[in-house]
Amino acid sequence: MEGGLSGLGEFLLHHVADNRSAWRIFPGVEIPLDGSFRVAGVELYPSLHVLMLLLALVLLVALLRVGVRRGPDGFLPRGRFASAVEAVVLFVRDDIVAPNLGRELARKWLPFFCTLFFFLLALNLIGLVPGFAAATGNPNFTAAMAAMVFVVFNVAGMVRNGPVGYWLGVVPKGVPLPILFILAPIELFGLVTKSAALAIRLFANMAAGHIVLFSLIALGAVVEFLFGNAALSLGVVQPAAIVFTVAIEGLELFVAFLQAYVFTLLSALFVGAAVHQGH
Amino acid sequence: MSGNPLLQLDPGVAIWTLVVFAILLVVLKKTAWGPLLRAIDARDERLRSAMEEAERVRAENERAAGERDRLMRETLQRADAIVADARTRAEESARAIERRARDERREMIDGAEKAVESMRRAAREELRTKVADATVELASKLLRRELDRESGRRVVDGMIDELEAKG
Repeated sequence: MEGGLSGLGEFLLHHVADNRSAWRIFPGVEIPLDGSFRVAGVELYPSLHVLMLLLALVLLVALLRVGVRRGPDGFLPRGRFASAVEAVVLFVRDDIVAPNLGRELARKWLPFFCTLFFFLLALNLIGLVPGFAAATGNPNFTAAMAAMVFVVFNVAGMVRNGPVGYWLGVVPKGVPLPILFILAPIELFGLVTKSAALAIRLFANMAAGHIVLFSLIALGAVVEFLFGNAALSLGVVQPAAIVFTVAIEGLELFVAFLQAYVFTLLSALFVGAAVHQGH
Repeated sequence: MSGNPLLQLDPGVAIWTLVVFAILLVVLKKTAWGPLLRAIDARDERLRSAMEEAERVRAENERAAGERDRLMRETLQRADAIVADARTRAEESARAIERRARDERREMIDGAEKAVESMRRAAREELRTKVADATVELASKLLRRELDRESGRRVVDGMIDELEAKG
């Protein structure tokens, strides 16, 4: 590690960040990602995180095909996995979408929010598998998702309340004119900031979790670099670090569900606020 | 910011994100959420109708039970009425029979008393006539002959014997 500790930090960040040169699955096995495919100057050749997106796409389509199978009478889900999928879908319906959008709209919006939740959950979980990467820790990904949510709730609000009615309804009614001059920009700006917060929250949580994981894994190397003592590093520090890593991995498993839930819940909240203005 | 690999701007990833999400939304809506939500809705509907049916049957049972109780009560009341009526009539006819029996007994007693009375009167009448006749006869005998005490007693004895012989 010729760059010293700052080089180590860079090394860690490169493991968490997206990668355009290769997918290093584990030492010795790597898939090169060194092609280039540009459209209007934008590099569209799949990076490591894009590969994770495509993997999530394939996994979700394949697994959910199994996950929606029903028993012979169509009354109950068939198998444990299908039961689990149904439980999650019912949770999304009854605890995320319905409270914010109301029962009737919930039925219409459920495919969107279920897709959102399962997509984020799948990407978070893929990121926890050693050798795979967390696309949800990429700000480009979270920003795109947040921008999509921003467009979705504004369009939904305009469709529901009319374009003029919606933008007038963004500002609370019955506010004196002078205050309106202050409040209107704040409210409009708030629409953007709450979407931006969505992106930053997911990115920061996932990236931070993975930095912690990689830092713990690298603890032995750090000790060896600082003290030049291989016995201490391999005999004491590294085993302890692995125990801690497993513990944090367990915490990250919880965070994977939690952040998918939080993102979906807040999106539902925003859509609900845009559709049912004044509530 | 440009130095941090975590914060690299990469529009390609953003575009891929939106494309993949759009594909997922369309495909999953068709292959997963559509069938699943239809099945859940059908089940909810079936549960609701089953519960409504159960509620309807319960109400029906309750109504039938009420009807049964009412009929039972009415039947018992009618039976009670019939028994009470029969008892009243029986008591009435018993009283009538008793009264008639008492009347008849009284009539019989009255008749017997009357008969006894008339017989007694007739006997007294006859006795009086006989005594008078005997007195008249005795007086005429006394007047017709002189008698000593001995003959006089014989006469009276003879007369009593005569009376007794006559009855």
